[in-house]
Amino acid sequence: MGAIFIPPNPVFVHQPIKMATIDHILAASHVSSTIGAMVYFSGIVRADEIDGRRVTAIDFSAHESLAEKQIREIGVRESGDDIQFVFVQHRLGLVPVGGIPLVIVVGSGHRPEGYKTSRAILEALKAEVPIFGKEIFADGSHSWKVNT
Amino acid sequence: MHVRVTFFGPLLELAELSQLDKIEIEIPEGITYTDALNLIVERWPVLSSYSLTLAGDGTFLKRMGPLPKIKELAVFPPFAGG
Repeated sequence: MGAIFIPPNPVFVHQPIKMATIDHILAASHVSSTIGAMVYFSGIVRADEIDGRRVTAIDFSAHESLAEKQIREIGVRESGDDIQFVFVQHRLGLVPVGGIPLVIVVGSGHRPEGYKTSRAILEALKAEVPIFGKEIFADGSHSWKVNT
Repeated sequence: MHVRVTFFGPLLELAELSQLDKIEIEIPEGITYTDALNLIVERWPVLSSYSLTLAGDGTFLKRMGPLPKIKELAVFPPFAGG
């Protein structure tokens, strides 16, 4: 296992994810001589149409303490020797269409490991972390998001 | 053991409960994970359509062996983060 560095930022935020935080993470390449690739992923809320209703936002909630512990465990578990750091931040509360509920940044020595780890963390987060999303429709009704 | 139950995601509204409701149940000592799930579904049959996951005192409960002593039981529907 490589030197895993999960920055001491909160995993969950209740406001928009700050681009200044992301910039700070991405700047890690300037202070490291071992990072050869940085993979940035962000999820974005789509204006899906479900049963004739248009999604306008998703209201995310979680069991925060357990979810944070689980995300940190996933970050360590999915990181092999080539991974230099993992950063994960998930927004809770109402995220409008076009908003970013999730950012994952992986710094690695080489691109294959970076892509692979970013994807593995994303899929594990969707399957193993107690986070829930209520899809809010334009007509005021709602349904609960199901990950596929 | 006397346990406080918290429902997450759609389960709260399905069970027609509010976040302000204090939900407490009695769980026999040494009960298995499956038996605990059955207790929940017996009490709130509407939840039987979901694949439920249980956590106790902030940790996922193991599906094998007896449940440890806990004070808080979290009941989750399938996860939907990301």
